[in-house]
Amino acid sequence: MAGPMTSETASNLPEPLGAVATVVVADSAERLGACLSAVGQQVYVPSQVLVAGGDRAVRAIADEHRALWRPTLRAAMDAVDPGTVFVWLLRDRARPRPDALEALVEDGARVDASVAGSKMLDAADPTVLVSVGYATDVFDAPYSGLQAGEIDQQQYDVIRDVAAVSTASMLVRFDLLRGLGGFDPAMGPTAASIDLCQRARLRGGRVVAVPSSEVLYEGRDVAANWQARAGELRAMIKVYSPITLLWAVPLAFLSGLAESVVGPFLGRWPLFGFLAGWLRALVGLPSTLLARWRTRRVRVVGDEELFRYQTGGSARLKGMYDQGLERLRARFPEGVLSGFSGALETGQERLRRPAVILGLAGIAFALVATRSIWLGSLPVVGYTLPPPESATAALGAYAGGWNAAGLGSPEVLRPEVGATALLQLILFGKAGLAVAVLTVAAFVGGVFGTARLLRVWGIGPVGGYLAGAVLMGGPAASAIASGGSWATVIALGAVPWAAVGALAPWPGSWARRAGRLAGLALATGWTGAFAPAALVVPAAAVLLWALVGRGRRWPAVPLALAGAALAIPLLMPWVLYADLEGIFTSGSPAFWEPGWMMAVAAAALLFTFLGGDRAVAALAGWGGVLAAAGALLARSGELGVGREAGQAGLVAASLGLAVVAGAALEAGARRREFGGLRGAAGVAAALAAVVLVGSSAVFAVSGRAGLPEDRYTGLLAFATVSEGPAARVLLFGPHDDLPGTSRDLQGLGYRLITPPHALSWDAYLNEPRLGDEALQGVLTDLLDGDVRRAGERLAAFGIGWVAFTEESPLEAVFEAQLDMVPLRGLEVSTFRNEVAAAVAVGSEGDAWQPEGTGFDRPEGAGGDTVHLAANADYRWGPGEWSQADWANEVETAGSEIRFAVNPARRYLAVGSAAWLGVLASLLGLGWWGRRRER
Amino acid sequence: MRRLLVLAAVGAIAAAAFLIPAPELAPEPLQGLVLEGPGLSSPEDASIWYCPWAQSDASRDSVFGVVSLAEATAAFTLPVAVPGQAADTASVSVTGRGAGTLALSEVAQRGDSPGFVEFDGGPAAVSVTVMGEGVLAADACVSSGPQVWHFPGGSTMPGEHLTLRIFNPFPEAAKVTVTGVSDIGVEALGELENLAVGARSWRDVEFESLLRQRQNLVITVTAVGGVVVPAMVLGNEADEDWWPGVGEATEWEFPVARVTDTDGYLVVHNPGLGSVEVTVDLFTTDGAIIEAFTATVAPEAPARFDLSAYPGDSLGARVTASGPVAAGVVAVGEGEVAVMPGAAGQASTWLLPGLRRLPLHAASIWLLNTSSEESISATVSPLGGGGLGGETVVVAPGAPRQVDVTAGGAEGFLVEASSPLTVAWSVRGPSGLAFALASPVAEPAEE
Repeated sequence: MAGPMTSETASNLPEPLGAVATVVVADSAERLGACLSAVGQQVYVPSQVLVAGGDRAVRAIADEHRALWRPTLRAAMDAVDPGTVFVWLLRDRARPRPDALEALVEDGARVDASVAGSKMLDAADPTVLVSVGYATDVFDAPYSGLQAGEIDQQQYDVIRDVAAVSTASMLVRFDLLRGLGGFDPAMGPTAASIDLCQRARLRGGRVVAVPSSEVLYEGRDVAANWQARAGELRAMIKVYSPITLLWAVPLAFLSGLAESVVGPFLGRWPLFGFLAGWLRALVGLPSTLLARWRTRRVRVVGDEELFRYQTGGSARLKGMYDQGLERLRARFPEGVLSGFSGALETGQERLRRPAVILGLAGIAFALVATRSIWLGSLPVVGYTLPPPESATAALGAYAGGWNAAGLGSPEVLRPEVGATALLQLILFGKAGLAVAVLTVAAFVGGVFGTARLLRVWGIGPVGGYLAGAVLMGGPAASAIASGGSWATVIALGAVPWAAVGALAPWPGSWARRAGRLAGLALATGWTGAFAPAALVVPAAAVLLWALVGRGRRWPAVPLALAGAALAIPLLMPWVLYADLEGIFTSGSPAFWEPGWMMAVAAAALLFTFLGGDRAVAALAGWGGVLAAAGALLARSGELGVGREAGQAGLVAASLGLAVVAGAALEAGARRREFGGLRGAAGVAAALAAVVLVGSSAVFAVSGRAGLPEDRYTGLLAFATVSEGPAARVLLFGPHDDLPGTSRDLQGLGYRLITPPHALSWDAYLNEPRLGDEALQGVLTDLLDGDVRRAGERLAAFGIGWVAFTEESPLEAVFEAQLDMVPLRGLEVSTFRNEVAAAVAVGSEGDAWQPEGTGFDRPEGAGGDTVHLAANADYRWGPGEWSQADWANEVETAGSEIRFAVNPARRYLAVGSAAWLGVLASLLGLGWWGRRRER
Repeated sequence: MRRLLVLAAVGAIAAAAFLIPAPELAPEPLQGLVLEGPGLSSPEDASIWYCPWAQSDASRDSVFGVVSLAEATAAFTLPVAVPGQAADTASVSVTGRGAGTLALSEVAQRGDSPGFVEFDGGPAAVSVTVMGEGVLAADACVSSGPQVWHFPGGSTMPGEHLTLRIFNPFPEAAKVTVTGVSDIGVEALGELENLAVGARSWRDVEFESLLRQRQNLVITVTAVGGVVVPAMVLGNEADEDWWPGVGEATEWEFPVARVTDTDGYLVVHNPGLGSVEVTVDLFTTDGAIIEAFTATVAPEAPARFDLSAYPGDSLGARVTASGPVAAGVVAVGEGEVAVMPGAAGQASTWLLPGLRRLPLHAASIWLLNTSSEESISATVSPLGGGGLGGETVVVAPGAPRQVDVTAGGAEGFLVEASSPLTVAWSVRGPSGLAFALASPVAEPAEE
C-alpha cells in the first residue's frame, strides 16, 4: 500500500493528508453528528470528509461539520479528489476510536491489503465484540465465528485474511472502489459488504481484518430475512462460475428448505423470508446477470479463491444448531450436559461438512416430496389404496382369513397388506400414520441407502445423496409412482440396502456377519413384500455387477441369492399360494415410455465412461446395464410381460439411473485428476447428472410422492349417506381407471367396491368363482337387452349402486331399467338400486353390520338365518352353512358370522412373523457387534 | 476395451428396449355392440308391455287381457300418482299356450291407473278393454315405440273430447314436447313444450279446451328426456276409444277401417319437410279398389280421406306413401267411436289378447291379405277359457276376412297364417265400438 504516512506537528495537531477520504453513509441525522465528531478526532486526519445519503437534516449536520454532502455513495465517490488513495467507508452508527484510521492505514499497508476492516465493538458495552471480519458459507451467508455476547479479550487481535469485512468501517483503495462501482444498492448492508469484498478478491485484491482498528458500533443493522437471502443469492450469482452455480444454487434452495423445516422448532419462521428472498432474486435476475457480466469479465482468479475463506456447510443451519444447543444448555444444569460437550463439539464440526448438509437436504426432499401424504392422506387411485382401519382385521385376513375383494374368496392376500398392518399395529392402529411412516421411510431410506451403496466404491456423500434423489425421484421412479403403485415406491426404498448387504465388504466378526445377512434378508424381504416381482431385483443387480464390475465381486452373488432365499419366508403364506407366474404376466402389458431424461442419463453415462477413472467407469457401466435391462423389462408388454414385472423393471432402472448419476457426479468431482478433454468429459458428466437430480427435485413439487391425484376419496361418498351398512357399488370404467384389478365386460372394466372407496385388501380380485360368474352373467344379459329389472338382479349381489367413471353406452341400458333410478348432479354417472340391497341380510330383512371381514347382527334383529352375498365357502359360520346358488346361507342364532381361519395359513403367517423377529434380532446382534468393534 | 464392451452391452440392451413395439391398444370398450338407447323395446322372451289407458271407477272398469305362447307369469305394476306410495301389483299366470284376464277393479279402483305388465316367458302380449257407461275402448298395449309418437285421427269438434295421456313408467322424470298440426296448419302449443312428467306418473292434456273445433288434428309427442308411453282418447257423448301412438312408415295396413253402419275416414300425417305422394287402396268383400285415393300431402300437414266415398259395409285399407308418414283410421257411428292406428308390417303369427266374449257384444277378428295373387290360410285359435279348437279360414287376396268370435269362452286368440298378413279385432255392442290391432309375433331369426 503506497501513500504518505501521517506525521505529527510540534503542536501535536495532525496535518491532513491527501491520501484518505472519509465517506460516511448516513441514514440518521441524530447518529451522524456523533460519527462526524469521531472522524474529526482521528489521529490520521482524512483529506476529505464526505457524507452520502440521508435527508435534509443529514445534510444540515454535514454542513455543520464542514463535510461535503452528496445524495448517494456514487455521487460522493465522484466528489472525492482524484489524488485520493484510499476511501474510508463508515456507517453513521460507527464511532471510530481516534486511532482507528491510523491503524487501518498502517496495518493495512503492511499486508498490502486492498480492503481493510476494523474490529467492531458494541458501543453500549465496548467489551463486547460485534464483528472482526466475516467468513461466509458457500451460499454467501455471513459467519462471524463469534458467540453471542462474546467478550473482547484480544483473542482475535491478529491481522488476517477474511472473506468480508463490515461496511461499518472499511478502508478501500480508491481505484479499486471506483472499479468495483461501490456497493450494490440492491443489497442489504451485510450482503453488500460480502459482495464488494468478493468482487475485490476476484480482481486479485486482499481483504483483511485489522483488529487494531477499533470502532464502536451503536445498535445493530437489521435486514429483513428476505432481503438478506436475496442479497446472498445475488452475490453468489455475480461471482461464481457456472459450474459452481449449477450445484450451489439448488443446494442453497434445499438448505433454505431445511432451515424452514427446522426453524419452527426454535421459534423461528424463516419460510416466508426464504420464499420471498428467492422470489426477489428471481425478479432481479436480469440486473444480476448484467452485474455478473461486468464482474466476471475482469476477474483474475477463480472460484477457488472465493472458497478459501468459506466455512463448510450452511452457516444458518449451523447457527440454528448452536441456538438449539444453547437452549438445551439453558434447560439443564451444567453438570448434566458436561458429558455432552464433546458430542456438541463433534456435532458442530459435523454440521460443517457438506455430507451433513446434503443428508439434511435428502430428508427435506423426502418430507417435501411426500408432504401431501403425511400432512393429509394417501391419494386413492390405481393401486394406491389406504389400508383398512383395523390392523387386526387386516392381519387376520392376511393370516388365513377371508379375502374381501369383490365378492370375496379364501385366496391369500398380498404380503403388503400384512406388512402394512403389522406396522399399523405397532403405531397404535393408526392407518394413516403407518402409511405416512412407510412413505417417508422409503424415501429417506432410498436416499441414504443409495449413498451407502455408492460409498462401497468410494463415491462421496455429495454424489451419493444426490444419486439417492434420482433413485426415488428420477424418471423411472416417476413412472412407478405415476402409475399409481404406492407399494412399489415403498419397495424401491429398500432396494439399495439389499444391494449394500451383498456388495459391501464382508465383515470379520460372526456377529456382524449375522447382522449383515439378516439385514440383507430384511431389505430383500421388504422389497418383496411390497413388490413381489421386484424381489429378484437386488440379486439380479448384484449378478450384473459381478458380470461387468471390477474387483472381487463374485462372492456377492451367492450372498445376494441367500438374502433372497432368506427373505422368502417373510412372504408367507402368500408365497406358497400365489400364482407366481401370473405375477409376471398378469395385468396390463408393460410399456414404459421414458422421456428425454433418459437421453440425459445416457449422456451422463457416456461422459462418465470418457472422463471417469476405471472404478467410476465400471460403476457407471453397471448402472447403465441395470437401467437398460430394467427399461427392456419395463417395455416388454408385447412379449407377455405384465404390469408387475414391468414395475420390477422400473425398480431396476431406477437403481441403475441412480448409480449412473452417482458415478457421473464423482467423475466431475475427480476431473482435476485428469484435466484436458477427460476433465471436460467429467464436467459434462456431472452436468448431466445435475440435470437428472434437478428433474428429481421437480418430482417433489406435487407432494404426493409422484403418485397421481386422488381419484376416489370422495367419489362414491353418496353411497354412505343413507342409514345402515353401505351396499356395494358396481363400478364401471376403463381398466386403468378403476382401483386395483378389475373384471372385463366386452372390453369395459368393472368391479365391486364397498364404499366409500376400495382399501388395500381390495386391490387384487380373486380368480372368478361362482358368484363372479353369476354377476358376469347378469351383466351379459343386460348387454343383450334381456333385463328390465336390473336392480332386482343386482340386489342379490348386495349391489345398491351402479356408477360409471366415464361416459359409457352401457349407461343407456341402465336408464331403461324399471328399478334403477338415475342420480343427477354427482361427479360420476350413478344409478341407485330401488331394491334394497345388503351384503349380509338376516331372514327378517335386517342388514348385518360389517365388522372386519365378518358381520355382526344388528341390535334387536331377529331371525336365525343370514344370507351372505359372497362367493360360497363352507367355512362361514358359526352355524349350519349351506350354499344358496352361488352365495352363502348360515343358520345361526348368534350375534356374528365369521370366516373360519385356515389354520395352515395362520401357522405360516405366524411363522413368517417369527422369522421376522429372528432376523430383527440378528440385525440387532450385528449392530452390537459393530459397536463393540468401535 | 472393457468399457467399450460394457458400453456396447448397454447400447444393445437399450436398442432392444427401444425397438420393442408398443402393445396393441385395447379396443374401445363394448366395441361393436349396439346398445339400445333409452326407449321402449322389449326382449322377445321376457317382455314388458305398457298400458297407459286403464281406468276403473264407479262407471267403468278395465280388463287386462294377456296371451302367451309359453308358460309365463304376467306381473302387473300399477303406479300410484302419490309420491312415495308403493305401486299396486298383481299377477296372472298363463300355463302353456294360453290366455288370461285381470279386472283392474280387483286390484285398484281409483280412476286412472296406467301400468305395465312384465312377462317372464313368451312371446306374449297384453291389451286393455275399457267398458262402462258410454265407453267401449280397446287396443293392444305397447311394448316398443319410437322417440316421436304421432296420433292421427284427433278431432275437437263440438261434442267431442280429445285427451292425450303421457305415461312415464320409469323411475326418472321425463320431458316431452307436444306439437300439433291440423287443417289450419301447425298449431301454436308453446305451453306444451318441455312438459315434465314425473317418475312413475302420468299427465293428461285435454285438447278440446286448447284447440277447439279442429276436425283433423294430429298430435305428435316427442320425448326430449327420458322415456314415455303416450296414448290418446277420442270420444263423444256416447262412446270413446283409445289408441296408442305410432311412428312413421311408408306403408300402413288397416285390416278393418270401417264396419257396417259407420262412417269412416283415414288420416295420413306427413311429419317430414317435403311433400309426400300418398295412395290409399281399399279392400272390400267384393275385392280391392286400388288407388281409391291419391293425394299429395304437404309437409307437416294431415290429409283426410273420407271412406264414405266408397259406400258399403266393412272395409280394409292400405296406405302407401313416397315418404314416411303416420296413419290412423276413425270409424264413427250412432253412439259409436272407434280409432285404430295402422299396422306398419305384416306377420304370420298374431296375438289377440283380451278378445273375448262380452255380453251383448259382437267380437270379430279381421284378417287382411293385401297380396295381389295368393290366398292365405290362417288358423284362428282361441286361447284360455278352454273349449273350442282352432278354425282355419282362407283369406283371399285383396279382401278382408271377418271371423266372428263372439261365441266361446276364450280370453284371447292366436292367428297363425301360411303367409304374412295383418290382423285386427273389433268389439261392438251397446257400449260402443272398439277397434284394436293385434300384436305381431316376430319371426325367429334364421341361424
